Amino acid sequence: MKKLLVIFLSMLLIVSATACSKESSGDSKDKKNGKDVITIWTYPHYRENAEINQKSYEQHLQELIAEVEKENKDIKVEYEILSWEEGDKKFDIALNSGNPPDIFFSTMKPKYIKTGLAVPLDDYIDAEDRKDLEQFAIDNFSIDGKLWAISQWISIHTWGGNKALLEAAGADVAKIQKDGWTWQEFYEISEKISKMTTKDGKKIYGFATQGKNEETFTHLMRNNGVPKSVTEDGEFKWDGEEAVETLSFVKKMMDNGVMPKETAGLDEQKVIDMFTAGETGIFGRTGPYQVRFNDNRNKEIDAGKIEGEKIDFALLPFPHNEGVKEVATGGGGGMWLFKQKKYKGDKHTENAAKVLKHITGTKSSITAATLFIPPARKSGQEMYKDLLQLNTDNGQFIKRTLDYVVPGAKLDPELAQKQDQILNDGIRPKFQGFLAGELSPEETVEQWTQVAESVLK
Amino acid sequence: MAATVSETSKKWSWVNFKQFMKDYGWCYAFIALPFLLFLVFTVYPLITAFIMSFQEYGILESKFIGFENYKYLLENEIFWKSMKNTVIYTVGTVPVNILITFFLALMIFPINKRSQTFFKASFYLPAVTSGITMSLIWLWMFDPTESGLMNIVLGWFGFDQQMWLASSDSALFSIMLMTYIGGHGSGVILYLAAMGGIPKSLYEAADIDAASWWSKLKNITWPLLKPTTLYMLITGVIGSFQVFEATYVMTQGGPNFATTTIAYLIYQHAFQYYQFGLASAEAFILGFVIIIISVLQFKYMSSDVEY
Repeated sequence: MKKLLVIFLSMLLIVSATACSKESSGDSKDKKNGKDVITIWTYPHYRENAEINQKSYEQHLQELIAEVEKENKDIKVEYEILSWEEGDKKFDIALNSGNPPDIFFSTMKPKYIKTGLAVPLDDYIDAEDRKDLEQFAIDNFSIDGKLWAISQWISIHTWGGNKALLEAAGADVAKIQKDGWTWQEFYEISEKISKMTTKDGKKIYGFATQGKNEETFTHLMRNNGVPKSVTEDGEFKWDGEEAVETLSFVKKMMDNGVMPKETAGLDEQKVIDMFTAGETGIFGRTGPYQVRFNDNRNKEIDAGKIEGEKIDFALLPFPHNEGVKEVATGGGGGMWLFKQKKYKGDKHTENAAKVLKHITGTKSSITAATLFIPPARKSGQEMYKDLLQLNTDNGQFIKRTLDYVVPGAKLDPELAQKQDQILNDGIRPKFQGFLAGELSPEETVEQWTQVAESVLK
Repeated sequence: MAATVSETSKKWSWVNFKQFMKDYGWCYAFIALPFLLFLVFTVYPLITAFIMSFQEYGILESKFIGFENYKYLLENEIFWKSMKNTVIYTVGTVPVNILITFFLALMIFPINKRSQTFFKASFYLPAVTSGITMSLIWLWMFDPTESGLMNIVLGWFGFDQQMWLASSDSALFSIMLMTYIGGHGSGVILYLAAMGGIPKSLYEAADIDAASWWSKLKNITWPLLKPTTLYMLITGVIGSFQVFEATYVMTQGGPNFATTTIAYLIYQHAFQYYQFGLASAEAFILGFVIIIISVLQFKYMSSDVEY
């Protein structure tokens, strides 16, 4: 019996020692039945909706993977759909342990480039491919003259409005969508809405936005003549009168009950809940995807699946200060290519790039079209034009906005990290303090400028 | 002659060792696997993190920078703010929660076994729920608008609605409040077990002397529960110094750093800025502080504790 125990324990030791000594990126995992295994990590962009015959994002991805595997018999693609809550964290850990997936969906993040594991895509895409991408999509993912991801869509940032409430306040929604509006015009309409009440007597706010970060302030600053917080030369631009003026505008809205005084404590979901409950006429930020969500919600109300009032939804541009040029903001998610710390070889990287190209090709524009977001590929916009419905009022607005989307500053990874630090150590906390009524506009700007100066010195 | 003695003693030790292995070798064989796992998953990362704390860490290449990370932290205002928040959180939660737990146990102890089991299970329930889920529920309860649950409750008593997590003045307290209301399950079980171990004869003797309820509590129950209290104090302090989940889910350290704790700062430096060297240095400072506090607690509070 004792001998048996000794043998058992020795075997356990050997097994655990072997397991510990074997790197997870060993050959056995990278090759399956002689095939090169390419891994993709992405997110659940949309779910299946049988009501409108809509497949899930995962089903669309599976179709693309099946195609690429069929065309390349030596490649096996493994994918993982991450959760929105934990996905970034999981990827950060994988990246920093030197073992990221080959392909990952993300917005533009210069910190990935700084790790040295992101692979620029310039060598893998040809001129024709590049020409098919909207210029903004290329600019958005370019740093130091290199393309770091292939964009799947152009995510325009907009505000959203309840057309019925806007019109009740005297707004000409079509004109606003076509020509834009000034802060003053926006304020007048919002103020009128803020005097209204819901059917059950609740106050309706003119405008509501989340107060967890400075995004809305950024949009207003861009429309007050300051498109970048930090320039490519390392200059901090949110230190002047424009910043104080923009904060004062926000303060005026909160003080006068146009915006909730509790904005500091509102998150995105709460704001959307307020909008769908008819408790705010305008909300920010949203994007073209909200048109699809709203359409689906209206259909579900019609079908008796959910309760609530149907909303005639209108995408709205960010208002601009009088005499200042209107600026639209956009971004977009795309597929990044990564190598591992324990390099798997040029052939593996080439194969991964091949897969990446296919899953971001023209057919992949179904993802953007399903979400009612303009695909980054011109060929995709053409292929799915019926699904995109660009001939509607909201569609026309999207088309117009695409023409004046101004990308953010193209900072090198070092400067981008400093910008991040200014944001996290200065702008965001001070802005939260401002929204909570603890700092005046002047104090807010003064304090975050101090942080910016110490970071940039 | 000397050589002969040495050889004899060597031979003698070898024989002893063989005998020792024969008698106790089994024990070492049994602990070998957990010890190996401990080396691989605790000691090795600890040593690596210690080395990293002196580096500007990069995935492909790291650079030794001496004490620069530590120097940066000691001069950094946000680091000290996070340390202060962590201390306030610890002081504001651990003793209060021990008292709450003690009184809960005190109320549950006299009732019958079946009811005790019900209450023990009920109080323990939050411990088996995911911390993230709990935080999300609390986030909903702390809704700063008039429709927020906590504000509705305040309204019943005629108080004004509060901003809760959205104000620097109340954010940290709101997170502390979460711990006051939930999270007493394991403490209640520990106290109930310890109360069951107090000899009944002590209370009988006190009854003969006509001791009051308060006198019995003060002179018998509380002193004899001191080992349990000390255990809860030390583990509570260690746990609260590492508070992260609630801050991460509910406030992300805001507003204006009001809820930035040291553990959250470590996370931020590691995963938002990829400054793993700095994060490691913070982790070692945190570890050092926890060790000092634990040693002091043992030194000054365990003198008359019997185990």
